Amino acid sequence: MRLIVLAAAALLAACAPDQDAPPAATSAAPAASSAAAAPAVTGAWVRQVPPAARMTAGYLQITNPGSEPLVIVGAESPLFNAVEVHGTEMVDGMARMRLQDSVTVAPGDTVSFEPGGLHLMLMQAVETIPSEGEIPLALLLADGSRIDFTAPVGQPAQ
Amino acid sequence: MPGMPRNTFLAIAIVLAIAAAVAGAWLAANLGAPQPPEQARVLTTPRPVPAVPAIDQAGQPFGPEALRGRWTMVFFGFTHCPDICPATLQVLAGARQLLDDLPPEEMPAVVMISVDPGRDTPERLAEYVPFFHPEFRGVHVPAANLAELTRVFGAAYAYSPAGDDSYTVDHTASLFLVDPQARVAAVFPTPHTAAGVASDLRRIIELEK
Ligand SMILES: [Cu+2]
Repeated sequence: MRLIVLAAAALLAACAPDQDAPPAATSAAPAASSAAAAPAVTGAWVRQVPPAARMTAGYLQITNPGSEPLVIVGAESPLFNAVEVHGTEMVDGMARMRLQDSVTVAPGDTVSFEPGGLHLMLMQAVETIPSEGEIPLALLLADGSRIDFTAPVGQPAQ
Repeated sequence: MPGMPRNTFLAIAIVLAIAAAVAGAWLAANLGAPQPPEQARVLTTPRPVPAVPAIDQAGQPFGPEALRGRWTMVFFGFTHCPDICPATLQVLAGARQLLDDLPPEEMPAVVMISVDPGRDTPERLAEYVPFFHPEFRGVHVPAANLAELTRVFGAAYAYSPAGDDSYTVDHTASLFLVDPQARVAAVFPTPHTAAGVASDLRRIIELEK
């Protein structure tokens, strides 16, 4: 019975509208102004996983120095056929991983993708998941632009 | 102490007395009686691990008999888990390294019990879990018996759709310590750090001596 309730709660959570829904396009800032302060991805890394793993996770910090919210709606990598923006949250000690429709970085803010929280879920490796080297990645933004960066494969510092 | 005003002498005496008391308390706390764990919760009534059909990654039976005689850290996870499961196994590997000075009979074993028996065959677990530490083992419990086992630990799991034809598993992320009598003896709530887990493990093992 407990499991059924938990499963139902999980389904509800999965279906609930995302609280970080993309804001309506209320302001029409000239495209030129946003180019002056480009968003910056720092500290990116991809978790080194066993060869048997079918998926791994990417982590990063992204800073929005601009004056408009920065809305991440997806991600991609030439080494993976499927990349999704995910969030792990703890609910009553249970870890739940869910697809995020979008992640908004407010002007002047930094958002961390980190273990146990937001991550780029890298799935369906084109070849095998690299165990070393750099992985090319891109964040896809709501305005149609993208932020390209690379992330080294490794383990977090303890 | 000729020439020293009586008040000054008294003040010095009091300061020295306080210093001695503080030092004594520190010594008692740090060298004397074992201390309780900081984050882990020790169960007042340890719960015996039930005998359910389960095998480890090498095909060996896993149950109370296999657990008896040494400490075992248990984590519930699954291999199609890119974030919290590898992060936790990494923390456990770090903790294991910090405990390297323990005598072999006190060194806790580490097992990941899969909450995804449909995809995590023993062979698959064998390819995944020891990557984090060669002595870590994966355990496969048939789906029909999993709930009975997790209930005793106070753990839960639930399946949730992910993508078109896949699913992910919500699961308790706490760590559980099984004592050498094959009883669930302590729970380590999230978040976990290698140093925190190692320090609490040391304290619990010390307390039980
Ligand atoms: Cu994920």
